[in-house]
Amino acid sequence: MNQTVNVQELNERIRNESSFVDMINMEMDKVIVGQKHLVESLLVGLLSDGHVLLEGVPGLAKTLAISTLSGIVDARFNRIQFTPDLLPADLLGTMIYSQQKEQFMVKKGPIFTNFVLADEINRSPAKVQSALLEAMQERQITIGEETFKLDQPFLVLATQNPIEQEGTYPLPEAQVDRFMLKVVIDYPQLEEEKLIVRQNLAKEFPTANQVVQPDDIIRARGVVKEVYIDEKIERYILDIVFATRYPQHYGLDHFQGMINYGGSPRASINLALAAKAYAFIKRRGYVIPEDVRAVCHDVLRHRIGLSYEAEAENVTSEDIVTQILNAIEVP
Amino acid sequence: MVKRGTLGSVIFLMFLLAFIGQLRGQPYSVRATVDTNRIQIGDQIHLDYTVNQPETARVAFPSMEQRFSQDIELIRAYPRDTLESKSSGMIRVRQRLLITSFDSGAVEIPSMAFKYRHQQGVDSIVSPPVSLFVETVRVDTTRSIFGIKGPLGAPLSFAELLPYLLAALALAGLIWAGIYLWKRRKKHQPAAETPSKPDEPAHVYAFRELDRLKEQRLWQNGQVKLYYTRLTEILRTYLWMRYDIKTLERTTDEILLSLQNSELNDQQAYDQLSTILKTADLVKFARMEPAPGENESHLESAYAFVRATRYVEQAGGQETEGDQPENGENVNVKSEQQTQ
Repeated sequence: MNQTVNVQELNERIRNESSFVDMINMEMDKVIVGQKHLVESLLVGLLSDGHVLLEGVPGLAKTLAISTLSGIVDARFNRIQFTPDLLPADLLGTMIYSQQKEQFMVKKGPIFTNFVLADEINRSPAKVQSALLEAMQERQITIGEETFKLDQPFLVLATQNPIEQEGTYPLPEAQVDRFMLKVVIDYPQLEEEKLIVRQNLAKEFPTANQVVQPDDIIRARGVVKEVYIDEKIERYILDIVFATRYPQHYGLDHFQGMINYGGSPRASINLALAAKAYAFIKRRGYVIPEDVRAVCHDVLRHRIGLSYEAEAENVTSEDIVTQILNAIEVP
Repeated sequence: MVKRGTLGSVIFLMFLLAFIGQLRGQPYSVRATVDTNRIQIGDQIHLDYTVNQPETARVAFPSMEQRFSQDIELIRAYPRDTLESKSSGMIRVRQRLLITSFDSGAVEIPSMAFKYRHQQGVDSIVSPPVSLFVETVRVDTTRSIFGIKGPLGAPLSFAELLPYLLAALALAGLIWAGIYLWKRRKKHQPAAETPSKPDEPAHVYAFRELDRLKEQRLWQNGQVKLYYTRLTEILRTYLWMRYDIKTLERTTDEILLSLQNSELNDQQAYDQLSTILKTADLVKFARMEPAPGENESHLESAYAFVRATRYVEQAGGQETEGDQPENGENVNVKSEQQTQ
């Protein structure tokens, strides 16, 4: 069996470079019971340099998963609890006057770290959300007249609660699009929850070891971008994204009045990138349709604007993505 | 000149009678008045008969319809109205009539007798006659003759419009309901238009297409990717026709998982299919180029898979799958369309 040299070499490289993924998974399993999809999504975000929005009811180990991941990667981690009275300066930092030096000095905010957990991001007003999302996009912050590059890897993991909508500031569509993935976390299975209870009642709570350096992540990001994606897969990705915009062209006429706007070109880019990262996690040097389908819901669910008609019919973006995947021919 | 003199005499007489009545102090009296004594032909005026009577007495009014002359037309008789009188113990009863006349010249509203009962018997009081002069429309002969005027448009009332409004609303409601039902029906149509299955047995389709693929000699001409794309298309369509699994919209893993839950129970055939699909994925998505022998063997495996899983029905009606005797005397290949 002869293989094209590039893909063979790439496969070999990926097998070497992605070995740390198994170690991360192993360490995560020590602390996080179940929630495989959450852990995979965090890795996809980490490896494709994309930020992740987590949605789930309280108590599903969102914060624990993120803090464990930062501990495994030997990266700095800050948690910011978003509240209605939070100010952009509380997040980014500000200029303070030093009486000793008789000059203004920069006091950096908690965003200057590797992993930021923006807890309950929708509890803060728009100006704070904008400050964070701008930093996510630009990966640099300007305080006074000075601009600071953020450390790499820089990953924002924001959480929001699907219940208790009173007194919240929902993220505008344009800003939610900055998140590469929106991961919806569900309750654990019965057996998993039994283990969780036992684990929490034990004398010592397990801790994860630091097994990866930030440089490994940065290097892996470069390899992820090299993962081979065939033209057929590209076409498949574009068909999926275009079906969110023009469902009638894909035999999904009944969605025509239900979608106000579909996925942007950023959705296509992120879907391809996330599929590559997923292939990397699965230790493959090429993308297959399974990779696209595995990340499709997380990439697209927050990028489809539903009309009032869809809401009246109880149709969710989740349903739309599922039906699109069931309607488009796999290459 | 003569008419004016007569009218003057009548008015004088009426005045005299009324004056004499008052002088005599009679408790009963009647008065007839009109809005005007000079009208244009067809004009409508009010004629009032006012009877002055004791509060307790009853006065019978004459039947008005029969009493008028041919010159006067009664249009409407209003209900009687009781009014207070200036004298104590007396009331005034008024009968108002709407009258008109279509004869020009002087006409007279005749006297009317109003009867009442008293201790000695029945007596009556008589209303004075009223003169009326009906004028014709003056024609200006100096001007040219005009055409006949059309009928005047009467203003439409809401009551007249109401039936039409209700009919329009009902029609609009029916149209809206029709559109709503049509849209609803359209909405509940299947998600995607499923291509119709070929009207032939699945294995007949698969063998024919595999033969065609073999004849095309794609991999021999360097079109390996196209060769495997076509090979998997044939197999996926065969599986869709044979097991009714939506293979065209599923990935390799999903297809294999679906087959595990289907009626396919030939492990060797399953493994053959798995190898073909997974190799095809590598060729299609990972630029793999199998050796020529492998290309040939995958095509043979595809033939073998179809042979092993084709639908056959035995003579006794018992269904089975896979290879059967070639002479086929007691084997009947059944169309999948009949079974689904």
